[in-house]
Amino acid sequence: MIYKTLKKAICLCVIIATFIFYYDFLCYSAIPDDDCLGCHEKFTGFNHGKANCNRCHNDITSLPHDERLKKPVCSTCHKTVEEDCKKGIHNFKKIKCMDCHNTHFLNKDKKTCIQCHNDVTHRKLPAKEKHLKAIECLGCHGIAETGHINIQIDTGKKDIVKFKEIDRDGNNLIDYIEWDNLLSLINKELKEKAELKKYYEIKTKNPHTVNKRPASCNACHGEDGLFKHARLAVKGKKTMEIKVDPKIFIHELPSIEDYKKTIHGKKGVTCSDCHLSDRPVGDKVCIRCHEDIYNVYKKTVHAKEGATKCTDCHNPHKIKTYKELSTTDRVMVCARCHKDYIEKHKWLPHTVLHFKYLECSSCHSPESKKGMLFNFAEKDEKGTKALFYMDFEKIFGSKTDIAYLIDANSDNIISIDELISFVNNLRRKHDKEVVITSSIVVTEVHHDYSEKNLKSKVCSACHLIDAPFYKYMYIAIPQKDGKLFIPVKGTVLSAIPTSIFIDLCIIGETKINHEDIKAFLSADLKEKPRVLRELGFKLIDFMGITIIFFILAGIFVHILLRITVKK
Amino acid sequence: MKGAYIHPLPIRIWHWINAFIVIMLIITGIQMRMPYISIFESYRNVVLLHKYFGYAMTLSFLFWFFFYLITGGFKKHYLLRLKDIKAIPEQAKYYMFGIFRARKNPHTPTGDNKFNPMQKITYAAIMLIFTPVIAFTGILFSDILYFFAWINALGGLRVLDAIHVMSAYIFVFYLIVHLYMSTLGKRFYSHIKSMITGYED
Repeated sequence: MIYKTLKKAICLCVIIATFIFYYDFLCYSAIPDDDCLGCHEKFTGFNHGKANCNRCHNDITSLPHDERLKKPVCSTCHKTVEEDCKKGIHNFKKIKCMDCHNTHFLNKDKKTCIQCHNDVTHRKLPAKEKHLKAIECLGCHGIAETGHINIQIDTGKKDIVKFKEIDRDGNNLIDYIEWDNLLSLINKELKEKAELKKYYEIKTKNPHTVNKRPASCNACHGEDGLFKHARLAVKGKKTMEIKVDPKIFIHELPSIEDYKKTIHGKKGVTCSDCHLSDRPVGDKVCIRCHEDIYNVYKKTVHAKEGATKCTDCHNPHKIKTYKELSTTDRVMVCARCHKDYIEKHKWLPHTVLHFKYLECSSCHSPESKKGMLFNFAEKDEKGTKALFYMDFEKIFGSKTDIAYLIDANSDNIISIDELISFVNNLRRKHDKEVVITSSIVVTEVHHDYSEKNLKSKVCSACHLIDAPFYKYMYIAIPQKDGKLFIPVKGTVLSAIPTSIFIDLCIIGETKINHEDIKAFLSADLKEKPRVLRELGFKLIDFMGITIIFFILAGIFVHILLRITVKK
Repeated sequence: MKGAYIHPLPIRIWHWINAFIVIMLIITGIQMRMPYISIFESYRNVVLLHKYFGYAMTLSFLFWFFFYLITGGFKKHYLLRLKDIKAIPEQAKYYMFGIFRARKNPHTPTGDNKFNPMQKITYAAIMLIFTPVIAFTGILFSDILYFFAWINALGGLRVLDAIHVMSAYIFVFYLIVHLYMSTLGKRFYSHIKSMITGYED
């Protein structure tokens, strides 16, 4: 019984296999190609994949065939392509497959977009030449899936770059600062501007869905832009490759929604208030509201030499209150033109480190008011990440007033104890380790940046107990719309436990002065431990110098005894 | 009459080079720590000098360490034996009382055992604990971004700074005492002379 069934099954398989094998022959090769080409000589050597004549001209069953034949239908085989075409403008304009493809010779006469669309002006496209040169038509008019930027720099036969030195934070990614540093280094070594080749590769879902309306600017320039990866290859003796932040090459543009969140948007400045015509917005527009600032600015080198107008540094669509910009953001404003700032500051020990915590105007705008800014961040193995309002909302809920939580005694100044207990509270509720990061920033800007070539190059302007920023210390608390800045008590800096306050060590904060000693002496006995704790790292110098005095006194007594007792 | 030959030539040369390095490090260190004390004109140069003298001190330490390791000096001069521990009170008593009455130093330096027990403890602490600590923390300071992970693992910049500065204070304490005690030989210049000629009076 089993044998019989098996036999039947094998027979069936053989029949099916034979059928499949001859399927092509049975269905499409009723008429051999050679018979067709006997009359239709011009199609000799035709090429359409594996298909033969009869596969498309399938209404021919015998030769000679009827004079009027049906037109072959591409979608018989290319079903999905037809569907893709239907979604786009080409179907609407009744463009047929054969308008672009030579069906008998696929590789011949393949049309490119420009052959039909040679008169497209792209009038409204900003930076037209750049865009048209860099991106193929389907990048904007197709359905783009992923984007990738390849950058190549040829340094000849020199191996100039060591990525270990350029990628200072060791995250295997070149960011804004590192990129500028890299370029200025290469330019310096090559003694000319290095040639930069950028290839913007866009992978589209299919080439047949073509839209008349291009993708919006935000598709690439938005927050979640198309280009998520960029790779740099530096060709020297060897070719070295590293990832680069794609946002260096594709700048983020704001949307109207984003604009509403900016300080201009919040204060009710509408589009037409600035955009009086289609011409670019000039300084005159800004002066109407910011005259005071311009009066300072117009006397400076920047304005006098016509080097920069307001909008060169301030993006009016993205304008944040100055306090909201991070140190890196602030440096980037200047670095757009002063690309070689790292090279120029080589005289400064720990150059890159300084720029991590300082902005340019800290030194180059002496009249600006400086302060120290603390931020909450979470720490893991990779480094620190700032905590945003969302994180606080998740921890404390949306109704809790965080400012009130920190400033427990509501005296509008944060003390060391208040800060420690808040961070401990945060650590308990947040699953990651919370720390405080810090930077030195300009809190009130004076727009005169003419100070250059600081001949004195005085380090002690900052590394001293009376450095200006010690007087103005703030902690930034993320709010739903912006940040709230609460002053911090001056003694905090030397006393926050190292596990909380991790990354800043200037020298002035560890100096003890007579006021500290006076405060300690005049404090009640109960208060003394607290005052001592607030002194924190200041105690090192205090103890050190005290011990030196004791040692010297001991030696003095010893000398006296040596002289007197011997006698 | 010449006494025992206690300081071999390489150690004498090392001692004076190291002394110069340490003094330069202390001077530049003071200005770095207290910028209002202006010893050198430019703070930047002070930072660089401190850095390069720091590297020099590391090399000098390595020379000293391997010299003693190869010649067996650690066992001869630094190993604290039971009799040394027992001799500590007597040695301390000498410095605090005996010396004023021109008593004899209970320890006589020889080529095979040149330090008294108190010297052994002090020099071992300075050379085997504080020098490596200060050199290591100093090297971490030389390129903060490069060593960021190490620094973070140690507890951050401020902890590193505290360790480095506290060790530096210990060096200063030590140096003051060392300089004074170098005058406590038979004559006030005896020890200093022996560090030049190699022979103790």
